[in-house]
This record gives sequence, C-alpha cells and structure tokens, in this order.
Amino acid sequence: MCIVRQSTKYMAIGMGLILVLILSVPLYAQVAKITIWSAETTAANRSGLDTLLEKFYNEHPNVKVEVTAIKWPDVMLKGLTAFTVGGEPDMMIPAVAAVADFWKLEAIDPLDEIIQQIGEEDFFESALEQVRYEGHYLGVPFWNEPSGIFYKKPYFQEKGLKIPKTWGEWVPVCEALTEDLDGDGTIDRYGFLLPGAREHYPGNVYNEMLWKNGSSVWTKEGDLNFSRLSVEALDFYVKLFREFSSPGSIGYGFAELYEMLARDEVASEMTMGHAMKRVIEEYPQLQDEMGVFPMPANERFTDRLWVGNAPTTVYMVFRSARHKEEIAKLILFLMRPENVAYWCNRRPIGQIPVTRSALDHPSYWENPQVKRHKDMVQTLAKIVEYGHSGYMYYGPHPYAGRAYGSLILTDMVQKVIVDGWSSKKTVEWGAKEILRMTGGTIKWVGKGDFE
Amino acid sequence: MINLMPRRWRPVGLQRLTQREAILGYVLILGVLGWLGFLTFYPIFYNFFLSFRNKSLLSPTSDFVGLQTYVDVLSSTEFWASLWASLVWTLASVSLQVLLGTAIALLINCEFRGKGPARGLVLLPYVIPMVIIAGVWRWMFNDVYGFFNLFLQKAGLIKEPIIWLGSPSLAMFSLIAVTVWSRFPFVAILILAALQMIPQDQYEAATVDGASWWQRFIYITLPHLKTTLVVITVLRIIWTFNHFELPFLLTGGGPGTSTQTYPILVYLRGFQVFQISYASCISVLMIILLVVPIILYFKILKPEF
Amino acid sequence: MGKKTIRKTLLHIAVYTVLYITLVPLFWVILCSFEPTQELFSTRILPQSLTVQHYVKVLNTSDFGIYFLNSLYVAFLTMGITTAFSIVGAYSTTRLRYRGREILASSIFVAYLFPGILLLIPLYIVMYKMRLVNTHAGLVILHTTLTLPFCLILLRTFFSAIPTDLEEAAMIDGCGKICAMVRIVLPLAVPGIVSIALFAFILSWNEYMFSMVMLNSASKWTLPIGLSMYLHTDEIRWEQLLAATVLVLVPVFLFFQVINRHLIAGLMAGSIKG
Repeated sequence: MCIVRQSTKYMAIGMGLILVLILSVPLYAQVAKITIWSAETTAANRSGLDTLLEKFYNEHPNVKVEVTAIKWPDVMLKGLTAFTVGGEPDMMIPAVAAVADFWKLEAIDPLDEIIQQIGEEDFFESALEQVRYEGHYLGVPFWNEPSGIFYKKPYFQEKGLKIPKTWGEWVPVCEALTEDLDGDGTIDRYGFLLPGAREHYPGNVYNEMLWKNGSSVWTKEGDLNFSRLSVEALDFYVKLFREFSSPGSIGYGFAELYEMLARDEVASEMTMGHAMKRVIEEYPQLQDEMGVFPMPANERFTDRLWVGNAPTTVYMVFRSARHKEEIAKLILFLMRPENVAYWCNRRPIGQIPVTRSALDHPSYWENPQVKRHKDMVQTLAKIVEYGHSGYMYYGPHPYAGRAYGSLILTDMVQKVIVDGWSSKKTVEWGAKEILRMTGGTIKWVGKGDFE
Repeated sequence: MINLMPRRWRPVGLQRLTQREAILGYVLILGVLGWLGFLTFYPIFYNFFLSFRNKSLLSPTSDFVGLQTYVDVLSSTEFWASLWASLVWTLASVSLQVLLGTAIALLINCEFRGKGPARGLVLLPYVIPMVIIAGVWRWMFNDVYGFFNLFLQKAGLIKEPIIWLGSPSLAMFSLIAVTVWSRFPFVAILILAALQMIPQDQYEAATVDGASWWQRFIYITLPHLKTTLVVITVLRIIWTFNHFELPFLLTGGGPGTSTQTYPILVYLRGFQVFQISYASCISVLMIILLVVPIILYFKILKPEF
Repeated sequence: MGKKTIRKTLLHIAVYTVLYITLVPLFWVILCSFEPTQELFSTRILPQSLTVQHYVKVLNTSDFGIYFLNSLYVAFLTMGITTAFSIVGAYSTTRLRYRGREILASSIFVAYLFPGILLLIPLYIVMYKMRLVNTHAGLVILHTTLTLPFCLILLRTFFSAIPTDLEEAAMIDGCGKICAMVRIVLPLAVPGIVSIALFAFILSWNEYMFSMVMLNSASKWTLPIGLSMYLHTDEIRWEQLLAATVLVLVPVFLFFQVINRHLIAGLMAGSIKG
C-alpha cells in the first residue's frame, strides 16, 4: 500500500515537471538568442559590452546575447573554421580587414539599411570608406583606434623644439632629441623609437610612412601601387631607425612600445592611444607631460599630414543569422551616441568614436581622462576624421587581410634592417610576394615608375 | 634474472593459449587504434588529399591540380629556408635537451636532502603554458629591463646590452636556449623513471667487484637506458620539428626569416593567407623528410621496442 | 667516513648549483610577481618593496577560479583516458604475441608525425558533426588524440623493460594473462605509468590552439585561454601575467609532490630481483 502511494506521489511530481517543461517551451522559443564573437578581449571592453547589453535587455526582454571573446589574431582563423562547417555565430566584431574576405565567401549581409537609419552623414567618411565595398556597406563601424606620435613635452621645451609637420622639419627634431646625457659616449635618450620585430606593428609604421610619402600598397582600383615613392619611404624608415632608435628596438613590437612610452630613454614613438592607459595608471605624474601629433608628411605631400593609421572596429552580421530584426535593433541600440561614447570610454583615449553624434555627446567629454587630456583626444579625433582606411588600402580589399596577416610589410622592413638588402630590391621583392599571393588577379601599376 | 627459456620455444599444450592471446592482443590494440584512427588518420588523409588540390579557405570550391602545388613549394626559397631553420632548431635543441635532461635525472636520482621538492621543481618549466613562456622570456630578453642584460651589466660582464632576439644567429641561439630550458624536464622525468626500473642488485654486484662510478654508468646504467633514450630522442625530434607556438610567439620567425621554422610557414600560408593546400603540401613534404631518417635510425640502432 | 662526508657535500653542491641555474628564470618570475609595477620596470635587480596587488588583481578581475577548475577537469579526464588506453595498447603490443604486432605498433607513430596545427580544421569538422563543439567532452577527446600516441609509445618502452619470465612464472602458478598483467606487469611499470599520466595531464593543461577554436563560452575556458587574455596586442599586463603564472605553477607543484613517491619505485625494485 505504502509503495503504491509513494509511487503515485512521484508520478504526480513527474507529470507536473513534464507539464512545466511543455509550458516553458513556447516561452523559451520566444527568446531570440544572438551569438557574437568579439575581438574586444580586454577586461574593460568585455565588461563594457556586458553593461550595455544589460541596458538592452531592459528594453528587449525577449532577446538574449551570448558574447565570446577571441583574441584578434585568432578571430579570422576561428571564424573561417566555424564557417566551413556552418557553425558561425550570428554577429562578429572582427578586425575590419576581415569584412571583404567574408563578403567574398558570401558569408555576410550588407548593412546598408542600418547605416542609413543611423544616417550616413553622422559617420566620418574615413570610417565608412573602410566598409564600403562593391556598392554596399559590409559592416557598421563604431570606433577607431588611431596611432599618432606620442612625445614628451618637457624634452621638446628644453630644446625649444616645435611640432614638426614635414619630414624636413622632423629629422632635425629627432636629431636634437637623441642625446648622450651623461657624456659617457653612449646614447641615453632616443629621439624616435621605432619597432623592428617580426610582428604586425613595424608593418603598420612603414605603411604610415608609405601614406605620408604619397604612396600606398593598393591603388583606389585595388591594384598594387608600389613605386619609387615606396622605396623612398622605406629608406626613410631605415634612416630613422638607424639614427634615432635604440639598438634594442630591433626586437620591439607593439608590446614593447607600449611599455617604453613611460621610459626616460624615449623622447617620442609612434603608438596607439591605448599606450596612454599604462602611463595614466602606473606613472600618473608623467601623464600631463605627454602630447601627441600626427606623423609628419613628406614636403611634396603635405595634404597627407592628417591622414594617419586609424583602423575601424565594426559590427558584421552573418547571412545565416536567424534573428535579423533583433540584430538590427541591437546594433541600432549600441550605436546610440551615449552608448558609443560609453563603450569608447571604457578605454579612454585609445578608442575614439567614429560617429559625430557620439564624439559631440556631452557624456563622452565627461570622462575624467578624456577631459584632462582634451588636446590629445582632439588631435586623435582629427586623425580619425581624416585617417586612412586601416592598415594598407583605400577601401576593403580582398587581399588586405592576407597581406597584413602574412607580414609582408614587416618583412620588407626587416629585409633592409637585418639582412642589409637595398630598399629597391626589397620593394621589388614585396611586390612579387603580393602579386604571387593574389594569384595574378591584380596589376602592378607602379612598376613603370619603379624602373 | 636470466631468461633460460628461448623466447620462441613454447610447450605444445600452450597452443590454444597462444591463439587466445593473439585474439586478446588484436582486440586491445584495435580498440586503441580505432580511437586514434577516427580522430587522427582521417585528418591526415584529408590533408594529403588537399595537397593535390588548390583549396583556399576563402573560396568555396577547389580543383585538382596534381603535383602543381608540390612544384610551387619545392621551387620557393622560403621552403628551403624554413627547412634549414627547422633542422638547426630541432637538432640543437633536442641534443641539448637529452644531454641536460639525462644529467639532471642522474643528479636528482642521488640521495640528498630535499630531493622530493627538487624533483618537483625541476618539472616546473615544463608546466608553464607556451603562451606564457614566450611572453615571459621575451620580456627577460629585453635590452633595458630584461633579466639577462640587467644581470650581466650589474656583474660588469658587458657594457652595452646584448640584443638577444635582434640578429639572426643570436635569435636562433636564444630560441634554442628557451626550448631546452622549457622542455628538458620531459627528458629528466622519464629518465628518472627509467632509472628506477634498473635492478639495484646489479649495482651492488658491480660495487663489490670494484667497478668505478663511470664503469657502472657505462656498463649498467646506459644499456638499461638505451631504449628509453632512443625513444625519447625520436619523440622529441618529432615534437620539436612540428612545434609551432614557441618560435612563433617568441620571435615570430624573425629577425628576417632566420627562425621561421616550417610550422610557422604552414601557419602563415594556411591560416593567414588561407592557402590550405599549400600548407598541407609543405607538411606532407616535411613528414617525408622526417620519416626517412627515423626509419633508418630504427633499422640501424634496433632498440628493443 | 671523512671521504664519504666530502662526497656527500660535493653532491649537494652539485645538485643545488644545477638546480639553481636551471630554475633561476623561474625564481626571477616569482620575485617579479611580487614587485610593484614601477619597480618591475626599473634597472634594479632587487626590489625595494614587495606587494601582492598583482595577485589580488588577477583573482578579482578574471574568472581565474573557473578557468582553473575547467582546466583541472579537462586535464584529469584526458589523463585518465590516455592512461587507460596507453596501458591497454602498450600491453597488447609488448606482452602478447600475434602477427603484425610491430606494424600496428609503428602505425601509432604515424599519428604522432603530423603537425597538430593542420589537424585543426578536419578535427573541428568531425567535432561539429558530433555536436561536441563548445563542450569539455569534445576537448577531452581532442586532447586524448594529441596525448595518446606519444604516451603509448613511451609506455611500451617501460613495459618491454620488464622481464617476461616473471609473468610466465605467475602464469605457471595458475594466474591468467590478465591476472598476470594486473599482478605483475602493472606494479612494476608504475614509474612509467605515472610519468606518462603526468605528461598527458600537462599537455592537456597547457594546450592552447584546439581549446581556442573549440570553446566559445567564457565559462568553459581553460587556463591557457583565460591567461592569454593578459597578452593583448594593445594592452599587455606583464605584472598580472607573472602573478597568474605563479598561480598556475603552485598547484601543479603540489600535485607533483603527491604523486612523486610513485615515480620512485624503491619498493618495487625488490621484486625485479626475481
């Protein structure tokens, strides 16, 4: 008897559970789940996105977002691997160079409507240019991470030096700053620290010099643009490296530059605004001594003074995503001026909004660090406004990501510095490598000028 | 101790037992191989198959191109440069690992105070994830605040800092040093385990006969370690030759292409330029280059294994 | 007596010198993890003050505990499966006699020859089809494929070092094959088994590439993935990385101390005398 009674009880509980499960299915089905793979992996940016999502849930309780952080060197690998089998997420926040690759694979949706809803005029043209391809916008840009030349104001004041605008003015400045302070025959302060390690950043700096010398890797039509000007820019890189940078900087990449900015031995270096975070947090007494200016341009190309390295970060939506409507709502929510400003200021100075509404938004300037370093932020914002499209191209280019990933520009710098090649031979080598990679689909238009 | 029965001699009554033994043997090994086969042999054949096509991760289709990719790879200078870098790195770091590992195993096998913690400490470099080893060592090699330059300068041994990762030969040297440092515990621990399995009475007998330490080492220890040493060396060679993370994170293959070992080339071609076929082709060629000496090694040395 | 003491002292000096030289980078890492940031990047060798703030930051700002438990879970499972399969495989290919044994054994080598990085995409395809992406079970399976070949090969060398006559003697005493294995072979091979188990554990504990591609949710990350977040391209926190390194090392060191005695087969050595 007892056993029967008990089993009835368990049956009732079981039935109840099943009933609850059945009832909860429609409830569960109503929740739209969106998956995002994000290359924004710093603790500050991850928690920043989480805070914004919490706000988003208040307005849209039926949406759930799952964010996966992936270090950006691995984003492309993981994204493509997953796409091969159909396991891609709904959205990605990749490096901008990836958008053309995914577009060519017919993996992503154009986001023209979202851009139009926000208003094209709200974006800086320099940011839109980085996602405009074959008549479509392939992503929604939201911030830029510009590079500039960060310098120590007191060192400049001691010598009565002015901010250089041309290469002709720049070289004597570097010369004056490179000094043997204690007179022991060795140099204790280096005028301009340049990276030389085999990683991405030396390629970025060389690319910047290409731009400042009226050159570029690609032409506007997407052909290869190496020319005499590229040789000249490489010569200039090597000259600065040999004369004004420390011998150890041959082993430096971004990480070392980031660390060296606060050191007495360094008068100036090209780096990203993120490096200021280190100074503010660990060497606060130095922070007001820091300044930034855009890399000077060759005298013949002074119109390129403000055209600096400023790659955009974008939202990208996969074609296979299920909840397109919710995704559009999410992007529009994240693109609200106050939200862009909020997320940018999770890492102030390093991340600059690319929408005018966010840059002008009062909440952006309320951040204590942005307020304190207003001059710096304004300079960087101007580099963003006129900045060129990321690493090495005008607009998205189907081979830009690959040229970048395979370290061709860095290898060119290294060939000259380490192996002692001539700049001309090196540029020729680089051109051949890029042509080989593109499998003959593009022309080398600068070749005539080169000979 | 001495086996009096010849190995092949078997009593007739054991015939049925031998059959059952064979069945058991097949069942066990096929179980293991089945697990491996599913997850390893399929990918290997997949890559072998790809090396005859022109597959890129960035295009949905690919064509059969025969040996074209092989011709491309073999005629490129980067392939031969990376082969050279791989060989130098592998041979130098494996021989040093085995020497250092064996020496340390012999040392910590002795009776001394604190041998328990010492054995644990020796293992530690092997336990640190590669991402961290590379990060920390890159920092220790730094010219201004890196450990080595700081130490050597304070000791007055050098005036100007040494740029450890700056010149091609020095970068290779530094890479080898880090590899040896981080991987020698593997050898040390295995040799230590193998040393434990040497019957102590042989040493006792030899000591009674008046054999010196060196004689005991040559005539007792080394023969017992032979198989383990050969197998460890081969395993280390394969591992080092195929290893990607450490050189990539420490030097990125630079300066120039002086430390660009072949897995780095595979990574750049396969996962940065996404020419998967090209990468597969390099691997297939490298494996052939790797297998031939290993087979010869086993044929000549014939370790009982 | 005097001679013995001198030799003992010399031995101690030798051991400690070698240990010191090989471990000095590690000591420096430990020392640096307690230095305030400004001290860390100064040209002094010994710091003027010490701090635990980096440890506090690591434990507060990251889910270190979760990564740690995940790693432990994956590594222990990998270790268990690898060890079991290795024992079975090594036993079959060294103690049992059958046709084609050596060929089967050397085919395991083939599995070890291919660079892991190229197995990534095909393995991902397999895992995806089995719905094992973003699960620890999938990762354990993958790690096992990485560890099994070399653990099996290594264990074979230990098994073949054990004299066959011991086993045969046991069988004559009325013990079956399996019984002989459990009673005679396994106890004698304990140092080998413990060391391959240790290597399986460590390999899984350190593995980065497969974990990065396989795991999506941060709640499932293993330590190498979580720790690599300190190595951002645009914001490297060396001091926290150092503290995290020490936090990873301590438990493994303790774990090793626990299993250490099994590597030392003093008890077993007697039975080999046979």
